[in-house]
Formats: sequence, C-alpha cells, structure tokens
Amino acid sequence: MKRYLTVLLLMCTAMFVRGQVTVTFVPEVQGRTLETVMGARFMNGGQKQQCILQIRITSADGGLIAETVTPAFELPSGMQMIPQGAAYRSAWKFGNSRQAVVVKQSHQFPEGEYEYCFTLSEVAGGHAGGVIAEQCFNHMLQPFSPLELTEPYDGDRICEKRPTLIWQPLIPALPGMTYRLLLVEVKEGQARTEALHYNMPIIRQNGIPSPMLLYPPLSAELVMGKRYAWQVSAVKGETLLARSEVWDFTVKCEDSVAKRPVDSYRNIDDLAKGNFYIAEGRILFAVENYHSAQILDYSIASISKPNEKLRKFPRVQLNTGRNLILIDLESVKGMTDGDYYILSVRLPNGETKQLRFLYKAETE
Amino acid sequence: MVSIARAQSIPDRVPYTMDSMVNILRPPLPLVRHALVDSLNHQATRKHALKEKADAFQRQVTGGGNQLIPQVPALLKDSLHPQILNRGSIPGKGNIQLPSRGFSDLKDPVRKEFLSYIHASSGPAKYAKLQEGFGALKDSARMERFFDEKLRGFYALFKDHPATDKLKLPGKPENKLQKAGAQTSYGDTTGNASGWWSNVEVQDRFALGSIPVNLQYANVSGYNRFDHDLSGENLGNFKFDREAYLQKVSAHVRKNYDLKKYFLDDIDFKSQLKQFTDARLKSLSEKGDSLQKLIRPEELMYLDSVQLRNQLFANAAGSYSDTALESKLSKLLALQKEIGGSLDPNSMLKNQYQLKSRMERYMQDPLSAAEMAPDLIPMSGLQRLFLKMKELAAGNIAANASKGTVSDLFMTGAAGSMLNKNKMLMLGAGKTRQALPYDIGLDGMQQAPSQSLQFLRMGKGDMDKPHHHVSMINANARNDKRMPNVRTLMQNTFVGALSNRLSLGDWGDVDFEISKSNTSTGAGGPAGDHAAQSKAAIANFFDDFITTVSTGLKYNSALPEYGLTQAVYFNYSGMGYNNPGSPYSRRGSMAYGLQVKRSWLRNKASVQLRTDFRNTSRTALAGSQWKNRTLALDGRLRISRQLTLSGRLHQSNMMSDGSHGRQEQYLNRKVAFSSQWNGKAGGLRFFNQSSLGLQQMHYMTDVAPVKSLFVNAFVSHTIPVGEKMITANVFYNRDIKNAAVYSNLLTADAGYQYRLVKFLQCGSSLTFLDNRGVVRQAGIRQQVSAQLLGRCQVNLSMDARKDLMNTPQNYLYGNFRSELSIFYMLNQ
Repeated sequence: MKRYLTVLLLMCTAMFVRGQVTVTFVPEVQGRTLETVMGARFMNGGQKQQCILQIRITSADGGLIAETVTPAFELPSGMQMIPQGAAYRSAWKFGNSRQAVVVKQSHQFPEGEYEYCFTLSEVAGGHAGGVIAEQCFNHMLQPFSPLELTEPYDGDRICEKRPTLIWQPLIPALPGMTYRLLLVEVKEGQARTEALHYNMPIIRQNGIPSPMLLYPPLSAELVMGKRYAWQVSAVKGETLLARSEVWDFTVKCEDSVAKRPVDSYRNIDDLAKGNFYIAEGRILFAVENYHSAQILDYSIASISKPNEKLRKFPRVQLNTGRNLILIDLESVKGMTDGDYYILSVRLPNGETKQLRFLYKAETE
Repeated sequence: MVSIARAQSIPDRVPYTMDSMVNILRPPLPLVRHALVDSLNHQATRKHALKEKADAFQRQVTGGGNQLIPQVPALLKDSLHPQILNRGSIPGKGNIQLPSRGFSDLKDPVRKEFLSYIHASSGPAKYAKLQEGFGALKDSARMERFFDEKLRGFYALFKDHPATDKLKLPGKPENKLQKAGAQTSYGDTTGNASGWWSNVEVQDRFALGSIPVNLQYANVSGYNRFDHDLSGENLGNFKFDREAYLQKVSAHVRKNYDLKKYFLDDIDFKSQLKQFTDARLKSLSEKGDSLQKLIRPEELMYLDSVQLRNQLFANAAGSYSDTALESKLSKLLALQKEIGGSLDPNSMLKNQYQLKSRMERYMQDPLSAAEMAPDLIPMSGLQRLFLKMKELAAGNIAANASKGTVSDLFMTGAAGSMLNKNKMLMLGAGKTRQALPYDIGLDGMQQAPSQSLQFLRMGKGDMDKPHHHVSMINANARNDKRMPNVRTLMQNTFVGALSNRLSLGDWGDVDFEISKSNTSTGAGGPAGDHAAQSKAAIANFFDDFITTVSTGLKYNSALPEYGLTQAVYFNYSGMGYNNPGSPYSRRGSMAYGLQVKRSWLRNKASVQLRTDFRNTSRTALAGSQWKNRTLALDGRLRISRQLTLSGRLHQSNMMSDGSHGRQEQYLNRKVAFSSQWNGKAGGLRFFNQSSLGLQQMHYMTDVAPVKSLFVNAFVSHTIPVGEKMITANVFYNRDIKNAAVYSNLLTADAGYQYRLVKFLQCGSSLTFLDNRGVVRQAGIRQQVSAQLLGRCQVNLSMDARKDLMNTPQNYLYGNFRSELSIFYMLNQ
C-alpha cells in the first residue's frame, strides 16, 4: 500500500511538474499578425522539454482562419518564446473565408472576433502527443488605422524654418503607445529612405504622446533651399506597432516671381549713343570713376509727361574705379509704365551723360 | 541646305535625338560627300602648298649659302612649324581601298590619313574586320553609310591635336576624395532615449577606364543611455555617376572634334550645291547638246517643276522639238529630285536659324555625347555598356521605381537600370532593411523585418516618359538580428505589375498601374521541403484576385498659358495586397483626389486646392471602414516687391463607419494667415515673416477624446547690418481649451550673427522657453563655424538652458544640446 501510494505520489508529481506551462499572450498587441501570434510567450515552470506547438485561430462563427503546427523544439525553462527555427519551419493551413484569405495573403488580421488557441504537446514519434498546456484567448480585434502623415504635405514647399509636424493618430489607441519622429536632411543625389539611414538626424524624438510635434527648440532650425524627409513610428514598449510613409518637403520661400538674372552692364557711353533703351524696372550701366568715392549725381525726368514729378530716387554709391550701377526704378515714385524718360548723369569729371529710355514695369 | 528647305517648320516636340538632328541637317548624301571630299582635298592641297613654302623658307633661312635673310625671329619660324609641318598626328596607314565612290575621290595623303583615322576611331579589331569585309561589302548601303559617317568624323577631327591614339578615353585609375567628416551630437532631452549620436561620413570618387563611381560610407552610432549599448551601423554604397561619365565623354569628344564641323555647320551648302548641280548638268549633257546652255544651276535649284518647264521652253525658243525638250525636262526633274527638290528661300532661312539654336543646345547637352561617342571614339565593350546605363548601385542602397512595384525601399544589395534604344531594363536583388539605426530599444515588429528580394522591370520607354513596363518581384521573408523578438515565418511573395504612361500631348499625361501579389506561407510539413515551397507563390499567382490587386490611375496636365496645373488620381488596393518592394503601400483602401493650381497676374497671385478621399476597410466583409477626408486650400498674393500675403485653410478628418454607426476619430482643422515683408526702417533693411493661425484638433486616445483649440502665432524678424545680422524669433502656441499638455508653448530668441575673425563666423542668441505648467527655461545658444585651410569646415553649436521651473512631466525640453561637425570638402 505504501509503495502504491509512493508511486502514485511520484506520478502525480511528475505530471504536475510537466504540466507547469502557461501561455502569455496579449491579443490586443500580439493578435494582429501571424508573426506576432507566433511571438506568444510560454512560462515553463518545469524542466526543459521537447514539444510541439499547435495554434489554431478561428473566427467568431467557428470558421477556420489559420492553423499551424510547428516541428518539435526544445522549450527551456522560464519565460520563453518559440525558437526562431521552429517558427520558420512550421506548417500552415488556412481557411477559405474572406477573412482567412486576407490573413493568408497579408498575414494581417482584419476586424473581427477571434479565438486564438495554443496547444503545447509532447513529442510522440515525431507527432503531437500528450497535451502539456492548452489555452485559448478570445478577442474582438480592431486593426490599426494606417499611420498617415498630415502636414507638411508630401513634396510641399514651406516657408517656416521651424514647422509644426502633424500626423494622424493610430487608432485604436493602445494605452502606453507613443510616437517617434525622425527628420533628416536629404542631400543631393540621395533617395529619401537613404537619407533616413545615412544622415545625422535633425529631429529624433521619442516618447511623443500626441499626434503633433512642435518643432523642438533645441534642434537646429531648417535651412532655406534644402530638402528634408521625415517619418513617424508608433511604438508601445519595445514593440513597433506601425510606421508611416516617408514624406519629404523643401524649405523654399522665395518670391513667387522668379528672380531675373542680371543682364550685362554696358558702358554708359555706349548706352548714351544708342537711341533706344528699354528699362525693365531698372537701369544698368557701367561707368569708370577716376575720382574719389561719392554719391552718384543723377536725375530722371519724364519726356512723355514733362510736368510729372518724380520723387525718391535711390541713392547710388559711386566708388573709385569701375562701377556697375543699378538704378532700381521700381522704388522711384511717379514712374509710369510705357512712358519715355531721360536719365541725366553728372560724372565727377564734369561730363554729363544723358540716356533716353522707355520704362517698363518689371515683368515675370 | 536643300533638305532643310524641304522640311516643314520643325515642331518643338520632335524628340531630341541624334537621328532627328542629323536627318534634318543632312542634305542628300551625294552632296555632303562631295562637299566634304572637296574640302578635305582642298585643305590637303593648301597644306601641301604651305609646306612647300615653309620648306623653301627654311632652306633660305637655315642654309643653302644665300644669306638673304640674316636674322629670322625664332618666333616666326616656330609659328610655321606646328601648323604645317609637324601635325605629327595621323601617320598614313594601309593600302586598302574602300569600295566607295567617295573614297576614290579622296586625294592620296588624305586617303591614307583617313584610313588611319578609321583605325584609330573604330579600334584595331574592327579595322582588321573591315579589311576582310571590304570585299563582301562592296557598294552595299551599309558600307556607304559607314563611309559617310567616318568621313564626317574625319572632317571634324581637330587636326592640331596630337596622335589619334589619344582618341581613346583615358583608362588609368583615378581617385579623388570628395568629402570626409564627422559629426557628433549630445543632448539631454529625456525623450531622445540616447545622449550621444555620432556620424562619420566619407565620400570618394573613383574612376577606372573613365567610368566614375562614387563611394559613400557612413558610420552611425549612438550611446544608448538605458543599457549602455553602443549601437553602431556601418553603411556604404557604390554608385555609378552617370552625369560625371557623360560629362567626361562629352568633354573628350569636344576636345578631339570640332562639333560645328561635325554638324556641317561651316560648309556653305548653297555654293556647294551650285557647284554640284553645275557638274551634274555637265555630265547630263549629250554630245554637243549642252543642257547648261538651256538652264542655269540656280534655276534648277530654285524653280519648281512648272516654272522650270516654262523657263526651259522659253530658253529653248524653237531650237529643239517638243519631244526632245520633254526628255530634257524629265532629266532635269530627275536631277532636281536628286538634289532634294527646289528650294524655298524664306523657309530655308527660318529653318536654318531654328536648327542653329537647336544644334547649340544639342551640343551643350552631355546626353548627346552618349549618342555621338560610339561613332567617334574607340570605346571598349564596358565603356559602351555604361553609356546606356542609367543607374547602377551596390551596397546599402535605396530603390525606387513606382508605387505599385518598388518604392521607398532600402536594402543591402545591388540595383541598376539601363536604357537602350528606348527600351528599359531594371534589375535588383538584395535583402531589405526596415530597421533604422534609431530604432534603439525596439525588438519587435508586426511583420517580418526583412525580405530577401529580387526584382525585374522592363519594357518600352524610359521611366519619366511615356512607357509600357512589366515588373516582377519575388521575395522571401528573413529575420533581422536587430529585431530579435520577431518570429519570422517562411513566406514567399510574388508580385507582378504592369505600368503604363500615356502622353496626351498638350493635354497632359495619364499613368496607369496594376499590380497583384500572391503570398504563400509555411513549409509543407514539419520537415517541409524548403526549396519547393519558396517558389510556390508564383504558382498560384492569380488566386484571390480582387483581394490582392492594387491599381492606380493618375492624370496630370499643365496649361501654362492659363497658369493652370491639375492632377486627378484614383487608387484601389485589396486587403490582401502585400508588396515587399513597397513597404509603405496601402492595403484595403480606395482613394481618390484632386489637385488644382491656378496662378494669375504673371504668377503674382496663385490659388491651390487639394482634396484627398480615402476609405480604408477594416473588415474583409463589407461594412466597417475608416473614412479620411482632406481638404487644403492655399492662396498667395504678392502685393508688391516688399509684401506677400498668403492664407491657408486646411481640414483633415477621419471617421469610423461601422456597426456602431459613424464616429469621428480625428479632426484637424486649421486656418492661417502669413506674410512676408521686406522693407526699410531707420535706414536698415529688414525681413519679416509672420503668421497667425487658429487650429482645432480632436483625436481619440485610449483614455478619452482630446479636443484642443490652438492659437498659434509666429514672428521672425531679421535685420542684416553689413556682414552682420540681428535676428529675433517668437513662437507662441496656446491651447485655449487646455486639453493637451505639451501644446502651450512660448519660445523666443534674439540673436546676433557676426564675424569674429576672418575665418570665424559666429552666432550668439538668448533663448527663452515656457511650456505652461511644465517647464520654463532661459538660456544661451552659441554657434561657431569656421572655414579652415580653405577646405576644412568646422561647425560647433551649443545650446544651454537653465530651468526656471521644471516638473516631472517634462519629456520634450532638455537643458543642453551640443553639436560638433568637422568636414573636409573638396571644392568641386
């Protein structure tokens, strides 16, 4: 009797020791893709042992979504995941419903109610034998919305050197979820994903609680004319939940009117000899000054309307040597588009040069 | 320029290729040949005559007894030598006879030099083949064409240039360091998760056989403050530099050839034509019966058939019978056809001008070198191949083709594309890399972190022009040691796509793409046959069509005369669409949108409207969706050169549609006005940029919805004072509803930028920051940048702030940040 009881006790202990495996699985985070389902953890209270894992995922109405059987693997003691090799070599079977098709093709679960059942079995002759642990989890899964960037828009040209960056939040919002934002400069000849990897980031901010980041005051401001790429990631703990697209923008705030290239400066003598000069918003000429630097003495009078008063002539500095003079006619008050004017320039050597011109307001 | 007159006024959209240029420029072959041969012979004669003169002069000068000219300035003597005597260039070569009429017209020294030129420009291998092949190619069209092309090249060759073996592209290896530098930054902001980051960068250009390759290397490393792990990543790539290669080839061609001559710009075709016509008229005459007496060459050139007939009959004036005249007329008409028809002087002048300007542009364009070079300089097989190569890169590289195929992909591998005779081929293979160096602390992802993929894209037409392409991508999931907690499954994906762009001419372009994916998962059994499984995705490619297809249609056009540009798009992708080549592609969504931009008053005013609609399915069955709507309206008005005003209205929202009805999940609504003002105050210029906005933001968190209403204002004022600059910036953002913690921010800084010594540019500013209820700081920022030894650039910046008030909620605003960067730059 004593022996019988001892054997019974020993058997019970053995069973008890063997059966001490619990499955740790958080469907809200881990039930979203097949890869994360395979990331379930097993708390093995007993010794390490060989086992086979079967996972069966079914939809609310009982239809099969996906089912897998891993090859035999060794489960060490403690909190462990399935070894990568076993996960890679597992066999999969999928159902035929539309939900199952989506899971088969994209590995992602659409919205729905699912039951995830984990069955850990002993190995008996290469197949699943006695059950070590069996646990099922039910969950109403809401897939993540796409993590979309909002502002500055892709390819946009902006004026601000410290823009506020805004994106759409990830929904459903999980507790403890934060965002990370990376902003880098895209150099010449680089693709934007290359820039994200190779270049030193300008903004690299973790732990952002809201879907908006006011430009960090400690970061260097953006430079006019350069192109920047940015990307946002949603993170919970150590797991990356979603990544947005990569968008880029350029900081360019020049006048919408293209800057005209400066035409050549012709010598004032040549201009004065010629009888037709069209001044498009300005007069350009070159003049030699062999005297000391001084303010250029000039005046403009209207030929078309002799009584017209012109005011606010810009001050022009005349230096010693060769001068490239630009008289900005736009700032002169009273000029009329299409009228003829005469420019009289009194040079330091006493000569007066006169130039007749037609004034045209600056065009694009 | 006979055929020029014949051509219609050249439309600007004629493709800008060598063929089109030359076909327009080239008058009828016999005329060209005649002109070139004539010119070459003439040059040879003149050269011979000059040589005789120089020899005689030399004899007089150096000796021969008669000291008639006692002192000849050495300068004068030497000036004769290089021009005439020591061309040193083309040694006469070979005694082969090209079976072409033109060849026999070439006079002897020219003939030998011409052969030598063929040897130098085509390479000895081809020359030897030609030697053998001449017999077979007697008078065939190919022979004639070859002869004409070589003749033009020979004509255009810079004769003063030494040895024609210099025609080859320089082959020896060259190496030039472009840039080397290091950057390091340290900041103590909690949210950064890492104190130090550094980045070492090297850029180098290497050329072998004149093929330039750029090497880029970067080491990105950071110090993880949490577990003291120094994560370092070494990234490098080799890229073929196409632009540099074409510039090199183009410069080399220009160095050896006078391109104006190559395009026959210097030949006066009119007089050549006259001579040619004259000669042909002579040859057409029968015994004692000269056509020349009846018709002058100019008449033949300029009169049309009716006028010619009248003129002929008038000139004949009864000396000949009608039938005789008719037969003469038919001969004349045949001759006229040979010279390309009658000339129209007006259109000739116009076309001549147009062509000249096109020719100038064509010759400046390095792409034209790619077309001309193979004919003019001897190139090895590899050099010819690289002329057609658009891109070739290996290492840690990005790959981009189109959204339905490969887009925004970063991988370790190789990829390249080639364009030959308007057919494109793009190939790539490698292992994708999604994990960034900055994903520190993350070890899990939702999907396989890496894929081993191969892709192919080919078809007609270049990527950014009208094209029809077919693409294929094959990928197998792989794990990434940087994400050790992702359990990668055995997964094979195959994607096939068709991409088209159609040009509607002035009406714009239409892009259409359809892409379908298929994924197979898992091994065949516990010990499944891996090899058999990995190709399985392509086997069932057409399964589950609607669920796994993605398609896009985009139309864009521009009407410059109205200042109008517009674009419309539509995209659909099934929930099962899975494209490893485009990791950010959308699944399960239908999206469409419109963008219109209109400008007025010579771009002084413009308005832009953009709308985007996107419906993303949540379930595989109909019903639940997220509906995104975005509307952005921007306006800009340039009031004067001093002032520009702009306004923006933006709304972006997302609704959730489902069994629980419709619920708003996210709303961002903004109205903002901004101005740019530059003017003068107190004699100093200033630049002012300001904006004022109101923004409403609602979104769901895990706890409760957040509803904020922000007022934001921003002013930036800059006053340049000579070389120095005074700046002041104020930024204010306030949530009137006090809903969000981090959004009540006021920052202000006032700074002064100045030059301390000649090479040291500095900027100092005072900073102030106040985030209501969280933190208040005041600090200083100092920046120094120096240009040392001409090539070395050093930048140092330090930003230190003292807390006037701080709370534990302060995640985002640290106290200290410094950055140092040192770069050696080669002035390019």
